[in-house]
Amino acid sequence: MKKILFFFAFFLFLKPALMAQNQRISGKVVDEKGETLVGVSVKVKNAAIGASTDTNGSFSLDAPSNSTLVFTYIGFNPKEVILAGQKTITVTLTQSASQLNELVVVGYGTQRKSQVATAVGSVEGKAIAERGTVSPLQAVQGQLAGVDVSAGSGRTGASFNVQIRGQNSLAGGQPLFVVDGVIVSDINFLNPQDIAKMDVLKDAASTAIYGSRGSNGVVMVTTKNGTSIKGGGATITYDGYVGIRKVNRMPNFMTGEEWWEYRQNTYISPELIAGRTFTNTIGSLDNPTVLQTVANHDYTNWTSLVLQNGIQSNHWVTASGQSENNNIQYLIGAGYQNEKGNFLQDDLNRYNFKINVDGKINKYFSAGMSANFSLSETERGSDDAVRNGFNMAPIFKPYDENGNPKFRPGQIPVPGSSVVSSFTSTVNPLLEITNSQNNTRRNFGVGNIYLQYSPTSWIDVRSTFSPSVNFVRNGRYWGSLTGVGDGLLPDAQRVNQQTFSYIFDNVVTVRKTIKEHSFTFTGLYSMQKDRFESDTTKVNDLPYNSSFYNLGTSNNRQISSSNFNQFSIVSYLARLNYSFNNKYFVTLANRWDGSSKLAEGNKWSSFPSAALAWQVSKEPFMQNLTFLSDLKARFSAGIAGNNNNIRPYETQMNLSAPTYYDYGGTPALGYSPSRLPNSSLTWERTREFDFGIDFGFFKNRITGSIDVYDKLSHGLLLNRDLPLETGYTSIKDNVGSVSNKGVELALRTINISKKDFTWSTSFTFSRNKNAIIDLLDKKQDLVGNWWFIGQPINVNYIYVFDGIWQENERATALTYGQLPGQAKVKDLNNDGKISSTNDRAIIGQKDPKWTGGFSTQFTYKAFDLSASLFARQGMQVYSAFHSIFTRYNDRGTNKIYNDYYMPANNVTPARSSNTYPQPNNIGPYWDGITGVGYYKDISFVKVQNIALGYTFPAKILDKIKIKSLRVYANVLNPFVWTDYDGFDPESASGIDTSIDPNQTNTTAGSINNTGPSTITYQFGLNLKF
Amino acid sequence: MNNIMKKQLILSLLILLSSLTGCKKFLEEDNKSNIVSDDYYATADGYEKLVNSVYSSLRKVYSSPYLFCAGTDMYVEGRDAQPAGISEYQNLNPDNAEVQTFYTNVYSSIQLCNSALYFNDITAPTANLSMRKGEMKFIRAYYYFLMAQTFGGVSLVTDRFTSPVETFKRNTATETYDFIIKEMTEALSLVPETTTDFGRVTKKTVRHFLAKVYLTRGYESFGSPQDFTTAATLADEAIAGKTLTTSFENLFYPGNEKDPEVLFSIQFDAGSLPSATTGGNTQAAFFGPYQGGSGATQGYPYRTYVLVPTLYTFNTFTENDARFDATFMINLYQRYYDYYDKSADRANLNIKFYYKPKWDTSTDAAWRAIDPAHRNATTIIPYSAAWQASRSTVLDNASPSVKKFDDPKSQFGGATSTRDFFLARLGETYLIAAEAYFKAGNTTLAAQRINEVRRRAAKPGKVAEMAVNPADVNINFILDERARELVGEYHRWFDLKRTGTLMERTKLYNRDIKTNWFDKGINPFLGTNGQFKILRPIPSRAIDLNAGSIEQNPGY
Repeated sequence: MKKILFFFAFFLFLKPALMAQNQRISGKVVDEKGETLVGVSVKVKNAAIGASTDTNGSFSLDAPSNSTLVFTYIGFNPKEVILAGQKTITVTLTQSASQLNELVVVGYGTQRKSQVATAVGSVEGKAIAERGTVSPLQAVQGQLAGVDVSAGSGRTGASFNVQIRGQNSLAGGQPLFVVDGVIVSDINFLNPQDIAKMDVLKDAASTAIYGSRGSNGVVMVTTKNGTSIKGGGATITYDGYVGIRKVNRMPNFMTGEEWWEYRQNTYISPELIAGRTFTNTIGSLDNPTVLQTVANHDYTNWTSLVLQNGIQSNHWVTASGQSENNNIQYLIGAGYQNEKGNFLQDDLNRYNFKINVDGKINKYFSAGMSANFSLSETERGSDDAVRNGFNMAPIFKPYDENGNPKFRPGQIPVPGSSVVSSFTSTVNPLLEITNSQNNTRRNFGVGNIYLQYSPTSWIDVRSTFSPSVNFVRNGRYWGSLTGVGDGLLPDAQRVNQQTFSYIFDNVVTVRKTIKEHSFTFTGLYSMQKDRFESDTTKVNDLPYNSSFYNLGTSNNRQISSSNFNQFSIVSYLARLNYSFNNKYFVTLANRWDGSSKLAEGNKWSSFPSAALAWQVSKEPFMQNLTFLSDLKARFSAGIAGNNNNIRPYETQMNLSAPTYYDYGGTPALGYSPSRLPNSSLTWERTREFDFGIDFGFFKNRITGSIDVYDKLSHGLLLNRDLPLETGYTSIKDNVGSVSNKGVELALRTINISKKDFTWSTSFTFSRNKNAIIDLLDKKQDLVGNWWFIGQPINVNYIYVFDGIWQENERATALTYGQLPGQAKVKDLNNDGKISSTNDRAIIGQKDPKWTGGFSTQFTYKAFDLSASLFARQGMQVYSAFHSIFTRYNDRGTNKIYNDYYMPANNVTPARSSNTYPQPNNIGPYWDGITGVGYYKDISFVKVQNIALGYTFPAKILDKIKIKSLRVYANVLNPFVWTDYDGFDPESASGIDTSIDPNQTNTTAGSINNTGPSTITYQFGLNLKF
Repeated sequence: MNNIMKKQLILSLLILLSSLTGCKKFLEEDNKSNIVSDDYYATADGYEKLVNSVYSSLRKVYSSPYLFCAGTDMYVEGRDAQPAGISEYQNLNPDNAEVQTFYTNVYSSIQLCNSALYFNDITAPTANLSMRKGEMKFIRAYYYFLMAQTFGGVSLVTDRFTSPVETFKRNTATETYDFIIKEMTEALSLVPETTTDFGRVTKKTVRHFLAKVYLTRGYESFGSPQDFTTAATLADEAIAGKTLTTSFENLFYPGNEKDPEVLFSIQFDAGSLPSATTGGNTQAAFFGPYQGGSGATQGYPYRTYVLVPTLYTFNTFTENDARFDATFMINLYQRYYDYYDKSADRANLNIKFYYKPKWDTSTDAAWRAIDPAHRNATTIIPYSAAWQASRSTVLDNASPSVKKFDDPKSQFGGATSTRDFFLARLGETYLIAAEAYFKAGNTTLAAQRINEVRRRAAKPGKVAEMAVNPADVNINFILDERARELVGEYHRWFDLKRTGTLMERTKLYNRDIKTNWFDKGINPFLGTNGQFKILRPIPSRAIDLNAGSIEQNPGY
């Protein structure tokens, strides 16, 4: 109380004294278009007087009559105005072309971009929101050099994989995600509209700040808060769109005639080979129903029955503001996203709620909190949706004579007999999909509370406690009329997973400037604990459809299990940033991490880093080069680690899940050892050198950066396959080294900047060369894993396809034990036989050789037009689509039409093909992950979106009390250029590493993770009032 | 700094320091959901659980039929393909997935045995320990016997591993057989004559298999004629004077898995399946035609149409042999499982399919006339070459189904049977004895042993017609008799391989091997360097992953 009285007295005493010498100045701040700017800081130079503009862009303050006013505003060039007696002024601020003043989040602090000595890429929230994607990661595809974002699946609610500067680790691995300073498992819970900024730490010198978890790169997300919404007073924004998603670029599935011919060929082939005679009824089973369907060309277009137009919408509302004295800033937000997929029973709903408050308690203390809560519900329907949806042959009928869906349309009874022609037992997708549920409900909450103590203006001590909770419930239901339900009673399963995690960070920041020398020291002590629990229940034979909500009604328990694990990490960090004269910058840092997952003696490790930057353009000798507005050279070196691939307890030999047995009916469960343990496991360490240049030309009309890097990762953690004779499949081990070398280029040009017309373009390019240096600490290939010294980690090592054996090659084919019509592979060593040791070769790599992005923005008066394009080139995968739909030895289901091989016969036309084998005679080398049939190049170039917007003039909006309003139309994925003839090339492999991160070269993906290519049309608006 | 500030600074430093202590404890692992295996196996109860897991490994090793049955004279592929390399040899190469899976499964099971033997010495002492040692030694030796028959000599791994081992040397076939015989002989002295835990290894089990090991080694270049004599003696000891008293039909009737004739079987039970639709015996899913996908609702088993009897298999039976009707579902009722579920009332059931044996010479009309009410709508499938299904077979149920392994109580699916899987039964012990006596030159005793099997097999009053003379006993007769007795039991490939008849008999009786290859002048067994692919190839994965150099088998 005493204190408060003292302050009052102080102000009472001071105020009249100031008033006496000053006069009242009022004015308005506008941008180049004449629109008012809200929240612009106005200060009197060399005096402690300041104000900010209000919602009308107006300000007023008392200042000496001949003083200079300084106007600063984020994203605009600062401006100084010398008062010459005016009492009212109007100031126009120009938008800054350079992003040099932009703040970059670098981990436990921020830095001005001009001072950053490490490799960090940033994307503004606006550039994320305007892509109109459901996932925030998808929105940054192609926007950041060196950051490769790829779709994990082609389905609704798909997750995206991020690879930063190539794969360091043989076991892959996602980068570390940090949202508002809190380490989280992923960022799928975010609504893209909520992102203020995304910064990606790329080189080891920047990621080493996150020590043992930094080697895959760090994605730092800053969500919108009270300060990022510009403007004083209360502001309410609404951003939203609705869209329709249409299936496009459908693969060339067989028509009725094509399939019927194919079907007969599958029956003719073995007869031809065996030299038996056959009739033209082969394959038709003499079934009059079938024959009639064929004769009448009465075919069914199954895909149109299964697919629908997707519908999507996204709504995001925020309210933000500041208290009068600017001491309290707040933002509250709520969002809703909805997506109805292209398959029946495919949808996503996501709700987001957030609150963010920052306040100054007094001169020394400030505190704040933020909380972000998201509830999402994803429905994926049947695991067989994609396969079932497309493999029904056109001669099957979806409905019976009463108009009800048939259970198994591929089983066609012969009228008047007990015989059934069985083409396939596949269940009707109209029943399979609609009677299946695969429903995931995720409640994710992350928040933090901090207390900051600033004993002086140059020391901040901040303690932050950041808890997060993740509750995931996956419910499965297989109705009676599904393949699993099999016409009997329904089955259901529930999996509950809950993770509770907390991070307790204590950070000391000391900032001190002594003449030209400026120091910032950051010290951190951090503790983290993650606790995970889960349980699973599966029952069969539910008496009635209670979905997965009442498992107790069944007495047929299939699974009842639970699980627990937890790990903890303790960390220390010391970092010193030093700059001299704002020209030379040095960052030195070290982080010490200890992890519970490692065995005693191997728990601790340290991760040092150093970075230098030289602002060349500030040197006197550069001042004559007027075309050069900015030039900075950067060099960094650092070591970052990774032990994400180690699960808790992996250094122990525990017990497996039960083995089942009985003695004469008396149950006898058993427990075998769970694994071969490895107590010497330690961190995977990546050292990296980065050399980069940031440049700006012609008053920063052209800006950009070039980086080259050289990474070497040691002690890679992965499941190393063991000799089969050990009885164990594999062991987690530190086994090798991998090099990643690459170059990244980012370029932004403002091509035209006129009052009414602007045009800018951005361009990114990155190329990474990945190579295994050694394995098992030796220069020795691990052929069984398809790992070869000097080659990329992810390669395809199989036989080399050499066309189809033709009839005139029969004699040669027979010497290889093959027949005409079968896939031929190269006898690489020409020894007259095909052997796995001598005749396999690396035929391609799974990761792109290069990726690039291009985007362009036009504004013309109130109109804006933007487009973005994204390319991933030079990668080849085992195509999940082709493994089902070009598996030409299967004869009951539909395929895509290719010109396959078929010898002359008396029923169907002969076909010659050198690319696809004979139906039902594919040979030993076509099928499967080791076969040559389904490896496809999936390089593509995609136009991600084209958006056209119109911003209403402020004059009109003023009248209806609206600050700004923009309406836009956006089209997503309008064009794709690719040679891949399956579904969308992005998800062609069908491997979703977010579901199972431990993938090997010989993992085959699932068709259910792929999906048709689509085009989305959106209409949206951005509203602020 | 003023005093307040100093106090605040000290306070915050104290908070910081207090959080630093306890750091070591903070990094300790706390595993609430599992236990360190060594601690568990050191207890008496934990040790029994390890032994149980060894028995359970038998289920895994026998989960796929192809290495045991495909590419023989008895089974051929139907509408769906068998693994090509296994079924026709021409494309058999070291990459074969079936061979690799088998190799992997057997070695992982051997490692379990090694663990069980390792802990046998150090676990809490109980009265059962020496018996368990015998059981474990037998099972491990049995696995090596499977390996020796399949691959010849293999690495004899007897250590329990706690850290990776990179190099394994391949032992010779002689060493492998010596090891098997030594271990089984030791086991014989440790296991009991009988057990109350049905399904555990007994002396009878060991004698039966030791007889088979000697018999098999007898044929090998490093074997001796003495091996056959020893085999005969051991087989007779296993028989121990017991005759075959259960009818063949009843021996395989669901629910009769604990018949005293069963010397060793892999145990399955509705109560010991991980779930009703997984982990069951897969044997029931083979050896017959596909019957459709609606068995769950219509009461018939899931059958794959992959491994169906050859014409040879059907042909080898005669009219006097009751095993034909006991092996095949000749009258298929409207609901397949009604054969069991309404066994007392079969006369009142409609017959959906009748598979007319070759000796049924009556006309269709005459057959229907016997019971018109239940036979008029029957589809009669006469004996013909079409019984042998092929890839162009278009009709489900085109040939008679093997019913020996039917489990009417199981759920519809491939791995759902709850019936025990017979590995050794007395009928086969007689045939082992017969073969051993025959190879030892004693055709009289050989005929006697065979005639015990045929006596039981004879239809009422046909024993004399079924009896065989010593002069008629030869290796082909023995193999034919094994065919009739053991349809669908997983011995055939080993029988042909052991007796050296694999090439000649598959050329004669396996349609696909004959027409696709031999008839075209290609010997599909012929591999590199003019050597025949009789042994299976050592999987290329095994060679790739082994840091030592492993010699590949001939022909690959």
